[in-house]
Amino acid sequence: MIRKELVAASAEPLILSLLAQGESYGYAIIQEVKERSGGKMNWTDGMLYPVLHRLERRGLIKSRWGESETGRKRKYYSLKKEGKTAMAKHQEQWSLVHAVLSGLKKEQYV
Amino acid sequence: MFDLEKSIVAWRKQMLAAGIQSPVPMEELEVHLREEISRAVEAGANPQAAFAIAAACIGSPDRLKIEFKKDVGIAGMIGAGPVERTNRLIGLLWLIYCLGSFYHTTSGLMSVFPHVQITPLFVFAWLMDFIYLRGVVASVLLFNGVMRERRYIFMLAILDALGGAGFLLSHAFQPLCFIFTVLGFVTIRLFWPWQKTKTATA
Repeated sequence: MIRKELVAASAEPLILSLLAQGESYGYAIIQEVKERSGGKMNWTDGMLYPVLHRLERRGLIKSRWGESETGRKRKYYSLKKEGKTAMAKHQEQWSLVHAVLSGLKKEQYV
Repeated sequence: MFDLEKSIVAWRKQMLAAGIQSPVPMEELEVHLREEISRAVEAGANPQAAFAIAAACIGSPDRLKIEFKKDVGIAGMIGAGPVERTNRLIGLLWLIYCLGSFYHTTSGLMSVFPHVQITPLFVFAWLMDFIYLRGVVASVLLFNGVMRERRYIFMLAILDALGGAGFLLSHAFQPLCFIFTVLGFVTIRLFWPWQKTKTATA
């Protein structure tokens, strides 16, 4: 399991990156993260919504109420242009952290 | 006998009692709960177990309340991060400035309106009036976190800083004009270069 501090810190970039692939809703976002992390990243479902609302208030994403194919009411979120810029910045920063860690790891085995 | 709808109503009451607001985000949480329940039932769980799983997944009302509280009250008013706080502060200051300028220009134009001749100065004053009015809208939107409005406020800041500095240099010192000039330069400093730094979110 991934530490909760890291899960919390990665929530924003993950949500923005998932929404960059297309409109989605809370339940689907959580399932997608679970699946992609092999079940190692577990968000408490309810914690997703304060993050989504914060991103929306900051003008990075937008939302609309809609219906699923079975008629179930859902709130769909999608990325705005400002969100794409923020996502790119996040990805750049996380890539840098990853590169530094990888470099250090490599040096241990040389 | 377990009644799913009654259990959902009880869960809802618990959430509302803990301070979760309705309709937002309560409605969204309930939609999520129902989605989670139906998936668990489809996977073979009985409704009672499915409800227990779904409620546990969503989290306790007290924990949720703490998370949502971060977005309301004083923290919500001044903004969650440095970018949001900057937007709020600049949005508020420019709202005051644009409202004041719009009122001042409009009242001046209206007082001479029936008898005035259409001169370049008169047209310029109307143009400025429109710019200030658009500035009021931009400030409100920026206060609410609409990032694209930074461009409009940035343009206003350049006009204000140059105009204010020119006035101060060519006329006697006026405290109000000095404040507006400083506001212009501070805004330019905070928003430049906005693409590289200010749209980044921590």
